[in-house]
Amino acid sequence: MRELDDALDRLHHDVRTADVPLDAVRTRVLTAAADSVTPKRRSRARWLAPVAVAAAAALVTGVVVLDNRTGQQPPEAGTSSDAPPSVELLSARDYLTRAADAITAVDQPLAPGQYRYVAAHEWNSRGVGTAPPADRPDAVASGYTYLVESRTETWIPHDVTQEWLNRRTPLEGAKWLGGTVPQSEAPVPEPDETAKGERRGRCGDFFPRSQPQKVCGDPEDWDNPDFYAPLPRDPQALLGWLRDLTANRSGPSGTVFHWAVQLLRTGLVPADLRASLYRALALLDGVTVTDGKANLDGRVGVAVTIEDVHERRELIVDPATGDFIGERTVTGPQPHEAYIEPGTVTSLSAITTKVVDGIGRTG
Amino acid sequence: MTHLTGTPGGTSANRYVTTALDKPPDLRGPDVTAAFAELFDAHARRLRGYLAGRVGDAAADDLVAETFLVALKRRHSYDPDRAPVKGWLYGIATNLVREHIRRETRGHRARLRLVGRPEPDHGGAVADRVDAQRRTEVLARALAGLRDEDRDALLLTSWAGLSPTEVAAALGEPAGTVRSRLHRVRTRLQALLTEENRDA
Repeated sequence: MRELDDALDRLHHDVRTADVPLDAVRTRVLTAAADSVTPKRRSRARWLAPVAVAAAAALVTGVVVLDNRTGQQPPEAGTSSDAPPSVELLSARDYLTRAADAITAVDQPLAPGQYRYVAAHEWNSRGVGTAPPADRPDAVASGYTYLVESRTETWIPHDVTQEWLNRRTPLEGAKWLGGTVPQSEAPVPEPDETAKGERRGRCGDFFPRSQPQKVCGDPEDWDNPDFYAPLPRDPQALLGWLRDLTANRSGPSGTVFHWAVQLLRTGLVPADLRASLYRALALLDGVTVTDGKANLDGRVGVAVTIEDVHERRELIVDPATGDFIGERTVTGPQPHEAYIEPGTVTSLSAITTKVVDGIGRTG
Repeated sequence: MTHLTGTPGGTSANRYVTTALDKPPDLRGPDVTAAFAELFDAHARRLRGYLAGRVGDAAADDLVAETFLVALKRRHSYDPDRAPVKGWLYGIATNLVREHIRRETRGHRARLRLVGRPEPDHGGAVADRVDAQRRTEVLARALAGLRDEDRDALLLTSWAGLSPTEVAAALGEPAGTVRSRLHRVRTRLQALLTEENRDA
């Protein structure tokens, strides 16, 4: 191994052994250390619902922007070195606008007998846990978490009042993310009954006994294509609509982001509205864009990101086609579950949408 | 050899240098500034050398600072019983390197750096020097083609002087996995360089 070690030693030898003064770096670190002792506002509640998680993102918009600008981890929120965010917001807008501009084709229309097929291949966090007591929201939660794999497929008919098919398949994959107990004492959670099996129903009503009951043709039902027809295509107006929709939920940017993702996941958002949605997201404070992000199935796209100290949430868009191709969530510096390491992927998905020639068919 | 300590050059069990500096300061204690001064003084110099090798001189200082700033933010989640502080710190640095390279690669700068000509060498007979330089170029190209985790494990041991246990802590993997990965990647690269020698 002598040649290898010699070559390793020679490679970039001069820069690696240069005697560069580190005083300025030291001062920067120690100043931050001194500042970190100042008490900071802590989150008042532990976020449990996805909407709330997304909502929290809006709290740290300045940090998000800095992250994208420097290519480094964001500095402490509230430091005085924050640059004006306009540059990166422009960049994010530029990227998103480009993705939006890429959607030039209209959606492939469904012929009678054809179905829109939406498949989600996902890894999601599942586990057991005990939330901290209400009077001690910052206490460490106990429990454990696995990342488990599943596939959900939906066949949507040309006439949505006809029968749909939904197939949920738990897959073998399970990855230990951490816990307050050893893994040997933490069985992989079994999928519950609603997470497996095939269900059929008109208008996408797969759980007919659930309340409130789904009404076929309801113009406020996201499973109804008519829901999307009257929505504004102007990005500002669409953003206004999203804000009204989420007005009763805290944290406007994160909540809007979450709802936009939920809309996109239906597979029913028409191409022109998808383009407007991307443009509307670009108008949100704190949204950043990174390219070269892969979804679960390896398809690479542009990630539209919103984040807070707990987690970073990415919506992955194929910039060439404007397709929404997946999502990813990664824990931030202070994960919701203290036993999960910062930087851990807590969910990952690949979304495929296409037209197929029959219910239950995938090609 | 003026190289920083820790290059795996022999087969003895103690070829990885572990120093008393690995005894971690109390990062979660009340005196954060003193703890980070100690941490910085113990590790910054070596860390800077490692980062300069990974990302180049220009970006090294910033990544050193960012490593400690991230460590500062995450100090409460650091468990000294679970991982040596050095591994933890280099884990943060390695994530920053990956992020940096991903961003730089978009502008092709980092990739060019990895496959570009290494610095001129100043010692030894001319023929040896030419051979050594060619091997270094071959190595640089091979490194650029490695998977992130292979490259990280190799350079964390070679340039940063981490032990496999510390690399395991840095990369969040079992030490056994790191050992077998190191063995595999080193054997492969050595074979490549030997082949280059034969062809030269």
